[in-house]
Amino acid sequence: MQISLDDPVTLEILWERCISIVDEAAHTLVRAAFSTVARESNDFGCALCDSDGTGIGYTTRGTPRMGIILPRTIRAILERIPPQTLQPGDVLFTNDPWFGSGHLPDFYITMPIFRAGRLVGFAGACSHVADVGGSTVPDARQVYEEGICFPPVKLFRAGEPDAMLFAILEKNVRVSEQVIGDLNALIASCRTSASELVRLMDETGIDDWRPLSRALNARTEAVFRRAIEKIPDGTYSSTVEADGFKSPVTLQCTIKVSGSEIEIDCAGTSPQVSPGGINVVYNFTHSAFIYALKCILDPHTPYNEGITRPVNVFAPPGCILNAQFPAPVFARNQTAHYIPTLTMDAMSKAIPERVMAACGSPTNRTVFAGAHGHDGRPFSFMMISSGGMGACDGKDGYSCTPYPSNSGSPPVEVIESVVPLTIKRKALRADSGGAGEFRGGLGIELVVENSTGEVITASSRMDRVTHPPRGLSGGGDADTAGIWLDGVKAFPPKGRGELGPGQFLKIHSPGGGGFGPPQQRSPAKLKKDLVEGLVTEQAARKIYGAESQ
Amino acid sequence: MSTNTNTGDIVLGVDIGGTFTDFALLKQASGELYIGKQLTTPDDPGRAFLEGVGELCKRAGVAYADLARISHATTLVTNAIIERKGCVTGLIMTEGFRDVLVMGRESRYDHYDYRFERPDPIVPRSLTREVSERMAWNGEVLQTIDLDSARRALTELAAAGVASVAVCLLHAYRNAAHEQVIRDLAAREFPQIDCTISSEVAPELREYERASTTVLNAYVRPGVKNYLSQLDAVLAARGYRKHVHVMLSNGGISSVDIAQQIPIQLIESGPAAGALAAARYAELLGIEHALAFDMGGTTAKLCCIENGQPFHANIFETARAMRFRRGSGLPVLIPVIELIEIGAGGGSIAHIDTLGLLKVGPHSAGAAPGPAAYGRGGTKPTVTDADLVLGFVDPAGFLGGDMTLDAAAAKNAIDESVGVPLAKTTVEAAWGIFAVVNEAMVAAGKRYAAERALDIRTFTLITFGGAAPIHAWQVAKILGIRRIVYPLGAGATSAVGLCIAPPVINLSRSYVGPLDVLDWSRVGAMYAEMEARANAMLEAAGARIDEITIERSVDIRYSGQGYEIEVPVSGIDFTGGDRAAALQQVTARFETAYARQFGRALSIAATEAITWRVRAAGKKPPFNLSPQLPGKIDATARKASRRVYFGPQHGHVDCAVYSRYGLTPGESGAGPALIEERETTVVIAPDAKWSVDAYSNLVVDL
Repeated sequence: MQISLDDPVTLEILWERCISIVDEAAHTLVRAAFSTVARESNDFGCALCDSDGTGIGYTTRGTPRMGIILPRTIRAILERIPPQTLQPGDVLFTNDPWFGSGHLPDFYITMPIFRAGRLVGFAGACSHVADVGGSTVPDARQVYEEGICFPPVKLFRAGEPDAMLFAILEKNVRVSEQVIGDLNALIASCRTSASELVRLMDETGIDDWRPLSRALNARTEAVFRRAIEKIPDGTYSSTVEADGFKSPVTLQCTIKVSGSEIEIDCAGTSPQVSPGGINVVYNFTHSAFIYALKCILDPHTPYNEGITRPVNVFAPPGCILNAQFPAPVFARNQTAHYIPTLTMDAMSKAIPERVMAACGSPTNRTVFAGAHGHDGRPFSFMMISSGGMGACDGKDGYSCTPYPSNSGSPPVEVIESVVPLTIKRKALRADSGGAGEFRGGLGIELVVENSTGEVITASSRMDRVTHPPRGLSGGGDADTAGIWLDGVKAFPPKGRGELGPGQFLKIHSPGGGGFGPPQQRSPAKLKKDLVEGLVTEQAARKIYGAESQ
Repeated sequence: MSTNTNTGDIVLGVDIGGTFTDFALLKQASGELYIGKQLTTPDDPGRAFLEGVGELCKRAGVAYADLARISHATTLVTNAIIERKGCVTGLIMTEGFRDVLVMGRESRYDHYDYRFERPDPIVPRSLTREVSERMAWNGEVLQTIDLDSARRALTELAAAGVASVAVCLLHAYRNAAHEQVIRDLAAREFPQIDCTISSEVAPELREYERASTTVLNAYVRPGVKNYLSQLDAVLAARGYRKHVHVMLSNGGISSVDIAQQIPIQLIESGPAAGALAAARYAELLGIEHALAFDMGGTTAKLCCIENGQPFHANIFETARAMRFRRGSGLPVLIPVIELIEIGAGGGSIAHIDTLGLLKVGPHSAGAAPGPAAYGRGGTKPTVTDADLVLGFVDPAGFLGGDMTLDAAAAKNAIDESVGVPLAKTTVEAAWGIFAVVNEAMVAAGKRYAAERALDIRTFTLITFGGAAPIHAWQVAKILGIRRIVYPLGAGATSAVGLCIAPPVINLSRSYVGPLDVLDWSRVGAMYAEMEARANAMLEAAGARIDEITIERSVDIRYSGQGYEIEVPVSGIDFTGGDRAAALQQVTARFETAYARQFGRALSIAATEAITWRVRAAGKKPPFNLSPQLPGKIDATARKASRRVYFGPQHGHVDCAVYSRYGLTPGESGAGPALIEERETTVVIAPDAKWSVDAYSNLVVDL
């Protein structure tokens, strides 16, 4: 094959081949993984990089943000362990939150790829593993309490595993067999990438991927710059308050758009907190902003790292969006899931027609645990109650749909078959979506009864109890989240409590914010909302200003 | 009415597709196969049906009364769902769970686009009612059904003008009593309403998927009942002595009664018939691992076949908001032959994307305006235009010469949209389109192989459809496949499949629990009950009881996982008292199946069973092709030669052109060559060898 990097046909075919290789690596990972997190929630990533550590291809499976993080992590590891010290058969590993994606359960493997004795690229893979030791509730004061941490290390040297590292890992996690299985799955995945990449090089005669990655990154960068250029120049800022762990935290960003570049400054954001693992490391903050911008500006074009180049993200060290070691970070999504909202709120001042009002996120999670399940064994189950999505110009938000997370609840029948809980009700809550010309999605009411004859515990991780998802461009706020014992009694939103036999928890997920003034909602849509029971008569009159019927 | 045919029978298949209605008539004694094609008549599909059957019978010299069976595949159900032309349908759910359809799976199929589209639920919230009742996960009655609430629900739905109602109560797969109460109440007091209950359509765990399936069935049932009764009457009037038979999505044919009870099973009848035909060809030719490759106007399809059995799945997705995006449609819990659909066919349009890269599809020029070369107003370059410019297709010989292609129009379209923007010659641009569309097939094939842990290089490609024989040589080469088979009569594969499909019934029932605490006698009783029912259904359709083969399987997963895998459990004794043996054997089978799919079994002890399945099949009708398609023989095989562009490696090559109809078994040759049929051209690569087998199939070794 003649390789010409000006040739869009060759580029298209080679890019597709590289993505196909990392998809195959992703299948290897999923097939070999022990942890169900990778398999069920697609909480993993696989990438190929050139010999400089610049990304070429990222799997179409897996979590979107990992495609941005993986090459950054690989380069950060290579700063610690320089490429010239690497030899064939080496395998590098870290789960340091400040190198990877912000909490210890995310394991990263990097493998140098050699061909004819020459370093030609890197295979990278990461996955959320089953356990890392430490506390299982997010109330740590420091990251030390959250489990074991490996800085970048050589896990294999020239094909030989470092027995000591494996032994240390094994002694420090609860289900070591699963965790080491997951680690081996990551390694197997990188081996697949490596051997397939070498095969592709043999087939095509390519001996250096850097020109290709440069060409592809230049193209994605150019497209993203064009998208940025369409935003009016200016400085747009936003402040969003979240429930926080013990007390509310403020997230702030100022987005400066000039020409084809964006600068984001998070000055004004609350300092990192302790206790409470809701702190976010910079890597994760960076990728969350990029993700949000990608969603807003250009959701459909395939991309790689090139899109990060026109965007500069600054967060003052020590703030909750750039938490410094040894901050606890286990439940960083509780804060990080506000970043898309923060971004969209700021951008609404420039391009209101492109953004989405706040979603009913972060997603509520309640872990129920007891001594005796259906089969007499102890049980533990994480119940998810998805909120509504925010509305955007021209479109109502979807009800009971998570964003930016993408893991909803399993079916009611599955939950009841697996654990001794009875779900009495799972229903949309009328009027919980923010009112607007375009209505926010509805949150739900979930009623979960303890059907065992004994006391069980419930641990809640819930936000948006005091801070409703906000509307945009005149749209109304959504209803807040809430959790009550037996329907009325207070239950800690971020804490633990007990349920006696027959007692139940009533859980509300928040709705999504509305978009545009409610009075401008088309009568046909409002009428449909009434017929479908999504908006009550009373709200129609009071908030939407409908004539009484 | 008999699905069981004798060796001397004459059988006929009719497949009504979106554009064409295809016909096949097989004389089983002689192996003579007659093929026909009509344009579909969407206003009255029966018209093309009758014209085509009449024409084919005449050609074959048989009367309606001579036909042992007419088997039918139709897009009726799919169209009714996609075009929202079913009847006004209501839904009854357990109290507290009215919103199951709206909530769906609580996920986004597009990670980035928050404006993604979802299909609206078939039944709106306003036509959904709740009844007071509750079953527990183990089938225990937690709350007895309140008959008044059921009556009230039906009364309100009747008043709202509902013609059909779906009932889906929680855990009804485990205890159907409450659903049956509502069904009986509806029959007694609301005879004008057609009532579908979930426990009869898909007695499986997962309320959203089950409700979706039940609702879709209710939505199309009155229409399908009507259509099939009318068709039966019309055929009877013309002298046909049997009931019409229908192809189900599982690749089996069934009696008209089953089709009228659970019409949602017809949803993929056409594609299933095609895949089944491929499977029978694979069997006929002794191919152990086959990959069926079908490329039509807008899509391409791949289907894996092992030992004559196409891969199957137990769930399907319809009415996708984005056709090729998993998760963007409505789920249907029915057994289907598993097809990988790729948004790339002959009509797919080539364009430069925002990154400046060349892309092909998923937009298609379809039949109207069609490729630029059709001269019907299409100005955008398609795969067919590229194939023409490269010389693979003869502009004068398209559809046997019935249609002339406009090579100049094809060149212009390619130059304008691809050649000029990319500074390429017409031929280079056309080759780019050809190569990129082939990459899409390759990528889909590789991903599928990786998911299923298959070594695709050991497969034989069986090629069907208008465009596949033009592209197969390069797709196979990149995938590392060594052999391609081009069956004779590939122009109407689905119709052929209808003639040679066995009767098949799939039944399932969820019974959830850890393997080590399951009540095995209950499992045994469940299998006995399902098998008795399947046997009765097949027998009623004319199958001979001693020829029925039954396969048992069960979906199992490691506890804590969200998805299960199907494990074959035939031959394990669930009736005796030896619980330990049953447990040990089922576990071993699960571990083997798991290791095959995921590389190795996990050392996790806890496993749980979800859904128990039975597949009962009657005997396969005989399939012995005579060497030639009757009445289609050319005197000379070798026609002319043509200059063809085989890519930068080979450049322009003078290529021998043969008529497929002039080749006889045993002939062989070397590439490059073009072998032309009425509907397509088989392209043989420069370094390949071809031969004609005993059944007149073309076999190419790469």
